[in-house]
Amino acid sequence: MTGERAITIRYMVVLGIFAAAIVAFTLHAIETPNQLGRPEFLTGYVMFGLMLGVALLNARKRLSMVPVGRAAYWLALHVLGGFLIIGLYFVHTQRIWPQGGFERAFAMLVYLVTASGIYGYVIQRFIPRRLTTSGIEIIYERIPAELARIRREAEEIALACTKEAGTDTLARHYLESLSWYFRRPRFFLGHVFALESGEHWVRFQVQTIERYLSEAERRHLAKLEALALYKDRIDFHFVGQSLLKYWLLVHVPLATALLAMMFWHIIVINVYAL
Amino acid sequence: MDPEKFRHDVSRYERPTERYRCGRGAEWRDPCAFGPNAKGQCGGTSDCRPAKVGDRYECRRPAFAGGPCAEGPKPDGACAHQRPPCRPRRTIRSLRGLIALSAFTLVIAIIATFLTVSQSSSRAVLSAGPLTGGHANFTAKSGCVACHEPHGADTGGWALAAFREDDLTARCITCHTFGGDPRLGHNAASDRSPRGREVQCTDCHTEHKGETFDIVKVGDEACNACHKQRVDSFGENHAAFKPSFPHDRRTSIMFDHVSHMAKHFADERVKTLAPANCASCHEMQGAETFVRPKSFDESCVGCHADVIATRELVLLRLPEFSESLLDKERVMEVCGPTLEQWQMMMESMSGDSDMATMRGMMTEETEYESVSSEEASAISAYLLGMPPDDPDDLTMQGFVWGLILEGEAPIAELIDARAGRKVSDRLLAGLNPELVRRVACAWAANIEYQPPNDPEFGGWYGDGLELKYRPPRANSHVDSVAYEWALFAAASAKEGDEALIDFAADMRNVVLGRTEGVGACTKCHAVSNDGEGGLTVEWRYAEAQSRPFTGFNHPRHLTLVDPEGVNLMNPDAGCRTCHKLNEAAQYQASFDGHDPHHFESNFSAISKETCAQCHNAGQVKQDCKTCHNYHLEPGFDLRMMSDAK
Repeated sequence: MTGERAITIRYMVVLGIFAAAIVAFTLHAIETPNQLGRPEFLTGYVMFGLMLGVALLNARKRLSMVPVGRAAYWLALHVLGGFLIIGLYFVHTQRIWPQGGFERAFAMLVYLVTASGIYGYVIQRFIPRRLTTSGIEIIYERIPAELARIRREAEEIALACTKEAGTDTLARHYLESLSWYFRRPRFFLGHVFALESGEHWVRFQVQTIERYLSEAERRHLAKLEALALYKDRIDFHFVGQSLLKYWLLVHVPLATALLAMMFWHIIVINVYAL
Repeated sequence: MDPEKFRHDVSRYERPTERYRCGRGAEWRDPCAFGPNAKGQCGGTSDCRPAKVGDRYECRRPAFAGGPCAEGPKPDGACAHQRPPCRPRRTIRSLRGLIALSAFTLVIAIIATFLTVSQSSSRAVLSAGPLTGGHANFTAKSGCVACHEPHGADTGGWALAAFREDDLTARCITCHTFGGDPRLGHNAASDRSPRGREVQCTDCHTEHKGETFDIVKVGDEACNACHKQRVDSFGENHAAFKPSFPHDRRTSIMFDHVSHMAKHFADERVKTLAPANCASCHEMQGAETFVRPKSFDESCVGCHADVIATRELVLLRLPEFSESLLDKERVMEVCGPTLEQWQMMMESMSGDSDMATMRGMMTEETEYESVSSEEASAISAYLLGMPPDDPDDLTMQGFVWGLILEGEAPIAELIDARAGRKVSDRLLAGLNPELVRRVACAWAANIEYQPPNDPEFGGWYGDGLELKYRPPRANSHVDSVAYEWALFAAASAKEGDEALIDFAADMRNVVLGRTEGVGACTKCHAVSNDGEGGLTVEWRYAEAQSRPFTGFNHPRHLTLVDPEGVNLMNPDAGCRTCHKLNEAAQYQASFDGHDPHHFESNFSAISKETCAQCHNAGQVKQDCKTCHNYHLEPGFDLRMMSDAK
């Protein structure tokens, strides 16, 4: 048995046990709402434990040096725990939209955290695959430096063209149009929706100036075009990786607010309902 | 992945977990090689930080930034390539932590603000939702503390309450009342469910779910939580009904449906008086589980109006005496001469007889032959404690003498003595003392009492050897004297005197007899054990108590039976859909004894299958609460009204 296969089997076993636990508990919780013994306390405290449990994924990411299992396991448990929480929430409250002001805010947060979590999970499954189709790899934090390097190189090509051809046609075109493009990542929405807007824009700029250039200038233009298209792929990485990072700016604060509300909810329940 | 591009001389060292990143990079310019420090200050004002080696400074520009520069450090050790500082920015990770912390703090701050601003705002973060309409109204004045005691405590007490159990049920029962212990299952301990776990109101009822929330609605699982025999649905696995269901106990009124429907209502003489349908005699208005029969005056009087006045009560009957022990002279002195004596006196007055001679003639001792060959009445036997067929002459005649002297007083005295309290005024209501004296005088003279006229209007009257009561004809079938005598007779079942027990039983057989009893009360009204060793006459329609947690909605079912209108006498529909006559039942015999549970209804038992025709899967609802209630005699305490004001 290969190491990869053993890991996969272990991964499936953990997921299977956890999924079975989810199904068993959900069935039990659905069965018990009208039985004596106030099952909402059971479902409530299980939700509380699960919320703390899924929140541990953040700690696990901070403590990457501690051998507490593969991050993939943790993520799988985090996702499954999240789904169980939303299921238990309905069993716990017996309704989609509660009545009280606090309860409504709580419900709103549950839904927002769940929605943002689902969004994050989907883009984590989808965007990395798209990024591999770009043909390049780049670390997100290095994108500013890489863009600065590309910009420098582009400016050097424009200057070299002027020196070599004795005309500033390409240089002026660079200053008037292309410099905007090289200044920072462009066509954010185009990359989000894979519309290839950046590539079309570059080709349009090249076609616009190409007819006014000499053969020598066209060689420089070709270099500039290649550099711009490379930058377009960098932009694509920037957009994709930004989406992968910035959704957490919504998910994590909402989850933190939810935890705060949950603590208050438990206090109130223990004071008033027990 | 190409590992070459991460070589130290071509790749810079990124630190995305740190709090700050280079401001130049954030502005899409070339970031510096070092980045900001932990405090967020720019670390890239120079290309490197020269190191002093011996007495010289050497350039330390990293290889990926081009390696040592040609100019080298300045003599004072400063880098030759100086730049203005940038404004470092937070990394995404740092930003995320900051926003998350802010969100947590914001929630706490909002809760704290709501708690302190006003009562209504504090309720917004404490209450799980609006109360149901009724509870909201009755707790409007006292607020949360009406149900939640900790709400009224100070901060310390409030916090400590989180670790103490709050008895919410105790608060509920300040307004809600039940027929038994509210913490017991069904509010009542029974042999089958001895006092087990305590039940709390909140086990089944949840509040704060909105003004229109159905707080009473409880699912079958709540029932199955305690009941050993699990019932998933009525049609599937509900137990079969008892063989006698729902006739566990005989009715308080004996009405033989079989004989009336089969025989009497078909009789040509009363056919026009016969009821049109079940609703003619049963009150459908407001009926739920029990469909009460209409009153005697509404449903029975057409045929049975006369029967009451035909059943008399024999209070006293002159028994046969072997000899007369009464002083005839004294009797004559008190009562005066009898007609016979008067005629004798008139005949004597034609001669020369003086008064003494006449008196001697009238009181002359002759051979005694009792005018009565009857037994004493059962009532007098019980009152005097003597066998009716062999009374003690001295006692009995002394009693008659007492009647002569005091009217009904000796009877009243005996009645009160037997009852143990003053009841004679009601039992002897309307009895004229003079009537008693005259009857007694006649009996003392060993002659039958001749009433001056026919007692056609009823009431107390003397007739020969008897002093009797006949219920008068009246608009109502309620006769208070007959009623009181029935009560007196029923109460005699508790007679404690051994010597009187048999006499009491005989009296009951007479007074409460179904064929002879006074006013024919017990012809219809059952006489039953009262559960305390005595008897009770069931004057009023009584709802069965044997199944306090089972109900049946008659009106709804009648509508279902015949949507066009209730045609109750239709043998193919109507009431007979469920209530089928049992012609073989010994219904009337069920009323011979006093045990109400020894009973055979003249309706066949209703089986589960009858109900399951409709209450089954995919048809009409069949959850537990369709037929069963949980609480025993639920009600309200008046205190709730004051709290609502």
